[in-house]
Amino acid sequence: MSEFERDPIIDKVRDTLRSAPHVAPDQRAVARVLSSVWESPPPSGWRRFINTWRVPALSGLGAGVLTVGALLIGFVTRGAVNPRQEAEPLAATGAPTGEYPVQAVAFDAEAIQIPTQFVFEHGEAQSITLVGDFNDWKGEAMPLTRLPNGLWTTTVPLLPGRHVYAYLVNGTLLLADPRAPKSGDADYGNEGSVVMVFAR
Amino acid sequence: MDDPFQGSAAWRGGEQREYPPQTSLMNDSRPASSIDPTLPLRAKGGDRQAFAELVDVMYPRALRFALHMVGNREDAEEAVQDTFVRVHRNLDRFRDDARFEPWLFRILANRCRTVLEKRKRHSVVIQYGDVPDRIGAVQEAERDWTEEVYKVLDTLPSEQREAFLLRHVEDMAYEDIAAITGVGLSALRMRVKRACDALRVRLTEVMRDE
Amino acid sequence: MNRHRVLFVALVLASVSVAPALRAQGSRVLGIADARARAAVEREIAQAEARGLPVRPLLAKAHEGVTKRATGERIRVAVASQARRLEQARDLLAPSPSEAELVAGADALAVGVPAPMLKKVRAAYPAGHSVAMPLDVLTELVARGVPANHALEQITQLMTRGATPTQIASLGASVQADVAAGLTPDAALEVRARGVMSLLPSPAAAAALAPRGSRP
Repeated sequence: MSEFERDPIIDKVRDTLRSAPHVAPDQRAVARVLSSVWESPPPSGWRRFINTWRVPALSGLGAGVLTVGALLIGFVTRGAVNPRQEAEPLAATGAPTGEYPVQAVAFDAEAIQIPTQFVFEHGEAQSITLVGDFNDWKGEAMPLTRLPNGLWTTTVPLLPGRHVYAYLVNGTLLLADPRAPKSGDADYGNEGSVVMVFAR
Repeated sequence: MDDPFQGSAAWRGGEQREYPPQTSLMNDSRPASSIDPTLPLRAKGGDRQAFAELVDVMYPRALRFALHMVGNREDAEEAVQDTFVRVHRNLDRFRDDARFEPWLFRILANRCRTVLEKRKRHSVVIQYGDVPDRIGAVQEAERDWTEEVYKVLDTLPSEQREAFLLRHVEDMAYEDIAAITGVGLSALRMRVKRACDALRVRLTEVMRDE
Repeated sequence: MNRHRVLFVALVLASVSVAPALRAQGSRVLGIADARARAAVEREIAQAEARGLPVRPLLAKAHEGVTKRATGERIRVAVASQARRLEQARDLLAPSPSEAELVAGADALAVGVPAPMLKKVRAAYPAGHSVAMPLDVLTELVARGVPANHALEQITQLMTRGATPTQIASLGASVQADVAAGLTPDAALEVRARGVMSLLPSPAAAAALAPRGSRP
């Protein structure tokens, strides 16, 4: 720090401005920010395209190497795009159920997804998402909806079988479902909950 | 590692343990920073939880800066909210090797400048009605000093105020401030110097009186 | 600069055509910022893939670790363990288990089901009929505290008597509920297996009615 910056007055000003007591973490304000973020539309396709142009200019050699590399990677990995999914339905039939459409396969009963409702009570939560083995433990796609009575719920299509899940509260707190049996966790030592899904 | 899962104790009124604040064990060599460097990368990859954590961690600092820049809470909150929306929208442009805070502050500083331009602030008068917003629960003894600091800060030209806040309150290196403001290093040093001179001159009296 | 732009356009056009593949290639394990740890996890997955194991369950295991805030090393170990279990399940459920069966088999091994039991479950259904659900129920029964031998015996008996995966699943769910209500796991299994068995045709009737190879 230079001469003019080393100063008891400046130090005191700094402490005053840093300690700003009114700027405590405010969960409601953060929740408001997040609401406006999730609700704002994503950039248009055109805007995204424009963004791709805004990169530092490459050297000719660099660009050439990257082009060849990209083509090579694309050729080699072409088969990796959309790998065959175990439960990929061969035909889509049936009306949407709950919040997500259910797709049916004509003859393979084990590939029919079963609408499965999850219910959780958490009075103070701002947001709750469902995470588990059916969504790679990433909750973005499965938020719960808060009902006026304070219960949170969502209905998601799950393949028949045994599934392990948990609830992610306010994006930070991972909770097991007190209404469900506990799962073990041989790998990470953190139990979740179990749901057995089948057609009734 | 703390057990992030709770059993039935979590059901109602049971003790709940939050994740520890993100001091990720996954990257032991991260630079001194208030945020875990994995967060912006995960957020960039579509991880909403990670983005929510980013907001949680950075919101107080962002609000503090915005408050000192624009002087009132309503405008400050709007600037901060707008900033995070833009951050989220532009995550795909965030380079994996970049640091998040300077990038965030660049957007935030722009937002604050926009607010100020919209308001067409003149250099002299602060809005006394806003002062309670910023002083809050400050002790009575400190009140005079704090009020004076805000008064002087508000009378600084906005670019000096901005440079001073980034340098001395947000503790940023000049190189980062240059990236945030788009201004050259020597011009920046000059802005900080002038801000310090003004503060020193006007606050020496106040200190003497205490 | 123009030359650079032209080359860059070529890059963009090439990238657009391979972007999905690139994305699939480059974003495998999100959330592990430590480059060394991420590379180690990627290596485990690549090695497993080279051995013919499905990648999706391993990525899922890695992402589970990210969500659970595990260290990079712990994630690597978890992925390696899952890969080993998948490989073991593949041997035991031969000749050609589906990915769902492999995952169900791996889960059973993880919860402590002895490996030879997977083979017995496989043998209880004709080839071509998925044993994923019976394996899932076996896993769940053992997780609830039913001794593995007892669980295996009841499940394979139901399977050889022609119980459908759905019927076996309902057994699992009922035992779950009974244990939650206070029954001992053994007693719950006993009574619920009896209930499902009573719905199934007798062995003789089943043999008489069913065309060859058409058991559920």
